[in-house]
Amino acid sequence: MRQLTRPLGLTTLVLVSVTLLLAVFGPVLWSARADSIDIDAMRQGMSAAHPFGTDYLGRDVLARTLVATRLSVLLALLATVLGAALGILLGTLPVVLGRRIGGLVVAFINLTVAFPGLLLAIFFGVVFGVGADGAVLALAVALTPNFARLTYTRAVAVAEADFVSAARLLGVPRAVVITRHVVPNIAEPLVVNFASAIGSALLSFAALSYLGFGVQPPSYDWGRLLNEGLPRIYTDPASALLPGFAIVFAGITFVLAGELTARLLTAEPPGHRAAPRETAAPGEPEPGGEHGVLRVVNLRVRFPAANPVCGASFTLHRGEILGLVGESGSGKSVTGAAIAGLVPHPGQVEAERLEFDGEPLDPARLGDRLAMVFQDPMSSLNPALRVGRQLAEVAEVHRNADRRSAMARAVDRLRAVRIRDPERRAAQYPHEFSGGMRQRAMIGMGLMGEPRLIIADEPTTALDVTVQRDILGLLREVRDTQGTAVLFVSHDIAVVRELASRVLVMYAGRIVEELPASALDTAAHPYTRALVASSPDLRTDRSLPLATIEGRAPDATEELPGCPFAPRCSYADERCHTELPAPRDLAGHRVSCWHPIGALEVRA
Amino acid sequence: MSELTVDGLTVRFGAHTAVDGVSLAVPAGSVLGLAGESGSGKSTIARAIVGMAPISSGSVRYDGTPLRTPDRRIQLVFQDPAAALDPRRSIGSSIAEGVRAKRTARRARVRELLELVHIDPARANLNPREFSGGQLQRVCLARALAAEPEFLIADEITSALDVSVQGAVLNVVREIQRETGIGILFISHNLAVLRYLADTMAVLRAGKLVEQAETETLLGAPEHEYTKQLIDAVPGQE
Ligand SMILES: Nc1ncnc2c1ncn2[C@@H]1O[C@H](COP(=O)(O)OP(=O)(O)OP(=O)(O)O)[C@@H](O)[C@H]1O
Ligand code: SF4
Ligand SMILES: [Mg+2]
Repeated sequence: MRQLTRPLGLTTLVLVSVTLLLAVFGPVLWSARADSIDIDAMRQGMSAAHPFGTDYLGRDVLARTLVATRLSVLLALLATVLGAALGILLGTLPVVLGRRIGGLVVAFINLTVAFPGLLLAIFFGVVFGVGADGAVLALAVALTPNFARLTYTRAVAVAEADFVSAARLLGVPRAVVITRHVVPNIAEPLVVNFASAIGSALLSFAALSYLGFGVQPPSYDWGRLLNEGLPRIYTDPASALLPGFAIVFAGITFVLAGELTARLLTAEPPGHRAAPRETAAPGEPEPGGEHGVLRVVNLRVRFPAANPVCGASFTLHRGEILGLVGESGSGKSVTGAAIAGLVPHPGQVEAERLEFDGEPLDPARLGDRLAMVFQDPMSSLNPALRVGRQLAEVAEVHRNADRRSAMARAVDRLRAVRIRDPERRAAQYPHEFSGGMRQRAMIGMGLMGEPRLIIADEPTTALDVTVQRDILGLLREVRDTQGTAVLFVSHDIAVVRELASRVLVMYAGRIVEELPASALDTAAHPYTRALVASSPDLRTDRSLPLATIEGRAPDATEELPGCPFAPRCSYADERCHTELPAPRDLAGHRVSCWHPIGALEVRA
Repeated sequence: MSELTVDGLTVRFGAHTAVDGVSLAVPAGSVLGLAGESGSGKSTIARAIVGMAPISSGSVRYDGTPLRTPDRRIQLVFQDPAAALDPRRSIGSSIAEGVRAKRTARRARVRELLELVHIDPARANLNPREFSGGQLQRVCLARALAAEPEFLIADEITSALDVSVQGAVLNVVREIQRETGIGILFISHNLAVLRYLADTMAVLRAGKLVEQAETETLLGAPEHEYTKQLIDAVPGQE
C-alpha cells in the first residue's frame, strides 16, 4: 500500500479519479452547452465565452471534449473487456485441447502477436464495417493475441508448478485446483495487462474514429472531434489540439494505472532502509612487516536499500587457501565481488585498507594478476566463442601476445587443468563441454597469466561430488605449483574444511570468527559451532538429533543494535541484544562474541 | 501398511532413457535412501511413482496391487519449498487442503500438523513469503502428512536449504518416521544426509541401479566401484 503514497501512486490516483469523474459527470454537466448550435459563433477562436473556441456549428469545443470523455473511455473499456475475454478463451484452448490441436492454436497466437495492433484494428475495421460497433469489435480482435499469449504462457507455467502437483497428489479435485490455484496466479499479470491495455485501446480507438471508421456523427468521441478540428490547426490551434490533448492525457492515465497495479500486486513486504553506520572497532594494524597478497581492513559495501558487508577484515598470504563460509545472503559473494571491483552499480565499496600485493588495490590495474571463478561457468563463458579463443583473448589483451602464441598458451592451460585432448577441445564451444569441464576451462582462463590470487565463488556448488573433488584437487595443485592464493567462497562447511587452511565465518555481513580449518569442531563462536554441528557428515551419530539453528538470518536490510546472531543464539543475554561485540583474539581464533565457547582467553 | 515395490521401471523421454529397468522395494515403516549424481534419474523415479512421469515399462505396486495415481496414501515432497506452496495462500490453508474433516476439526488438525513440524500454529495465517526456506520445507512436510499417507517420497528436500536450517528439516523427518512408522523413499545426492536417515540405500547411475544394501554395509563395505568413488568424493573426510 505504500506505493499509493509515493509520487507515482499519488499522480496516478489523481489522474484516474479526474478521468472517471469526467466520464461520469461530464455529459450531465455540459451536454446542453456542448450541443447548443450557435450559427453566429461558427469556427471561432479562443474567447471568454468559448475558452477553446467553437466548431463548424458554433458548438463549444471545451464542452464537447469534456462530454466526449464518457464515450471515449467507455468504448475503449468495452473493446478491452471483449479483447481480454476473447484472449483468455483463446489462451486456455491449448491447455484444454490435446497436444496436436493445442500446438496449432499456440502457433496461431504467436503469429498474430507479431502483427502491429493498430494495423489489425484498421483491417478488421474495414471488415466489420464503419461505426462504433464495428470499431469496438475490430479493436477487441486486435487486442486478443496479446491476452491470449499471456494467458497461455502463464497457464502453462502455473499448471506445471510444484504447488499444483502437490494439490493433485493430495487428491484435490481438478476443478478446485484450477479455481483455487491456477486462476488466481494467472489473474495477476492479466489484471496488470488489462489496465495498460485500456490506455492503448483509447489511443487506437481515437485513431479509428479519426480515420472515419469509428464513431459516426452526430455522436462524437475524441477521435471524431480531432477529425473535425484538425483542418483548422493553423487558424485555431487550441481548439484543434484540445481533443488530442485529452486522448494523450487519458492514454497516459491508464498506462500509469497499469504500472501502479503491477507495483501494488508485486510489492514485496517493505524492508526499512538501513542507515550507514560505524563499526565498534576499526581493524587493528597487522603485526609484522610481511604483507600478504591481499589485505582487507574494515571493508564495507552499501546499496541504497541494504548493507551486505559491514566491516570485514582479513589477510590472505601467498600460497594460502582461505575459506569464506556463511549462509545464503550473508555477504560472501559481495565480499568477493568488492575485492575484484565487480560490485554492480549503485553499490558503494569502502575500506580502511584494501591492499593487493602491498599496494592499494586498483581494479583497473589488476589485469591478470587476479582471477575470478564463479558458480555457473556457463554464464561466465561466452556461448558464441570457441573455448580456446576465449582463453587466448586474455593473453592478447593483458600480455599483448600475438594470436598464435596466445592460442598455444590457451591449449597449454587447458592441458594444465587436465582437460584431455586440449587441441580438439580448444576448438569447441562451451555447450560442448560438461559442467566440470567448463569449470576447469574457467580456471584455465584464470591461469592464462600468473595470478597471485584466485577468488572462487561457489565454484563447485553446481557440480556432482565426484567432479567437485577433481576441481578441489585442481585448485590445490595450482596453489602448490604457482603459489597462488585462493579465496574460496562456499556455503558448504565440509568442502571448506577439506580445502582451506584457515576459515572466515560470515554472518549478516560481518566476519564473526576466523579460525584454522582444523579447529572447526572446537569453534569459539556459537554460530560457527551450530553451523558445524547442524551439517551431518559420515561420522555423525545417527542416534541423536542434529543440532539446529532456529529462526533465520537477518537480511541485509535489517539493522540490529547488538550481536546480529543474538535472536537465534542460545547463549545470548541482555548485553548481546544491545551491544555489538568487537573482534578479539582467543587462542588462534579471532572471534566477535561476548561469550565465546570453551577456549581460554589469551588476550582481553 | 505395506510395501512399495518398483519393478523393472523404465522411463523414456523420446530417445533418451532416463530410468532403465530399476527395481526397488521399500518395506513398510522403513527408509530407503536413493543416491546418485545429477541426471542419474532419481527425480524421474519419484515422479514416475506418483504418476507425474510416463512409465514406458515396468510397474509400481503398493500393497501388491498396481498403483493408481493420484493416491492419497503416497505423498511427494519437492526440492524447492518456495515453489511448492501457492504464494497467494496462507500456509495453513495449503495444509488444510489435504485434511479430510469438518471445518473445526480441520483447523485443529492443521494446528496439530504444524506443531508436529515445530512451526508455531499461531503463524498458520501467514503467507509463504514470511518464512525461511527451512520452515517452508517443514510446512511442505506438514501438508504431505495432512493426507495421512502411509508412504512419503522426499526428493532432495534439503538441497535448496542452508545448512543451518537443513538440520531442523532432517530432524523432523526422522521424528515423523519414528512416531508414525511411515515408509519413506528419501532421495539425495548427499551421502552424509542419507546415512543419517536411511535404513537401506540404493545407488543410481545413468538410470541404472548399481548397488543396493543396508546403509552400514553399503557405506562401510561398498562392492561396486562407482559406490566407492562416490564415498571417496564426500568432502570433509580426514
Ligand atoms: N546488486 C545488489 N543490489 C542490492 N543488494 C544486493 C546486491 N547484491 C547483493 N545484495 C544483497 O547483499 C546481501 C548479500 O548477498 P551475497 O550475494 O553476498 O550473499 P551470499 O552470502 O553470497 O549468499 P549465497 O550463498 O546465496 O550466494 C543480500 O542481502 C543481497 O540481497
Ligand atoms: S555475542 Fe551473544 S548473541 Fe552473539 S554469538 Fe556471542 S553469545 Fe551469542
Ligand atoms: Mg553467493
